[in-house]
Amino acid sequence: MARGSATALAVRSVVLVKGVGASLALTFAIAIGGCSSTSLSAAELRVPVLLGPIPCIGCVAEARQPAPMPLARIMGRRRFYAFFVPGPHLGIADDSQLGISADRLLAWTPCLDDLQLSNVSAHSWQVTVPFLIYIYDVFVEADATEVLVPGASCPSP
Amino acid sequence: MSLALITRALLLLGALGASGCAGARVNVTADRARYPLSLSPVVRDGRGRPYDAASLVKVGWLDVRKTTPGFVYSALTVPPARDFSDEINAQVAAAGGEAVVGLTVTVAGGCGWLNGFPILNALPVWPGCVPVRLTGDIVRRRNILP
Repeated sequence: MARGSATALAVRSVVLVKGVGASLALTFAIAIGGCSSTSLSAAELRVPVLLGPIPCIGCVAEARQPAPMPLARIMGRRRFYAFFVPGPHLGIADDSQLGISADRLLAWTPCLDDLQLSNVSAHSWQVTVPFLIYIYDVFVEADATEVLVPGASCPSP
Repeated sequence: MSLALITRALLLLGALGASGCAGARVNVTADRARYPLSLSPVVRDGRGRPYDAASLVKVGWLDVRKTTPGFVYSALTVPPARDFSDEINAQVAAAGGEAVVGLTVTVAGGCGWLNGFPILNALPVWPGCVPVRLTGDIVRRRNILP
């Protein structure tokens, strides 16, 4: 009876230690994962990057002729990992795609053309293996098509 | 096999069995917008002339948020697309603007607690969500009377 009690106590102790560490990892991962965000913008481009059917001020909805340039897929992404390492330790990693932005990808667009976005989609999801691994992923993506602008002019220098 | 090893194996199997995934995916549209929406600081008029910060005046701030739920491990989102047109049209009209520039589409935090809820997110009916926020500057052309 004494040996069974000692064994049971040992098991509970082991679970408790791991449980505390894992609870901290769980709380921390959910908290940090919930703070992850990403965005899609084009703050540094010098041509209009349009969303929606209206191409210009005072204009009506129209479909413009695409320029003979390849379609580009642009994305903003933030991925966060947390994993529990027996010890107890907590590992954290942040995988954000740096440098792959609309500004850098589309900087070649001639100033006489516009960029039209389509198929804009936003994603948010999390994979959880309790007490072991947490992966949180958010991203926004869109197709960017270069379109011809009749009578367009470039910004003055 | 030692008791400790068996315990660890059972814990690992339990954790794997309780693994889950939740979230959502939504298409972002503005198909009924009545104003040009530009992610860059530049917008054109009907003659193709570009306007930027030097020739535009900011008259308001656009801020629209929508959160969309998803089910079946983010495979099913209800509804699958979110149209921000009505809110955009209302805010731009209220500000007396002609366009939106500097538009940013953001997937914000706030759904992490739901998407990552332990054990329950192993159920396909457990909801996830994706919060989408559109922000930007509502502008009109400088020296152009309304």
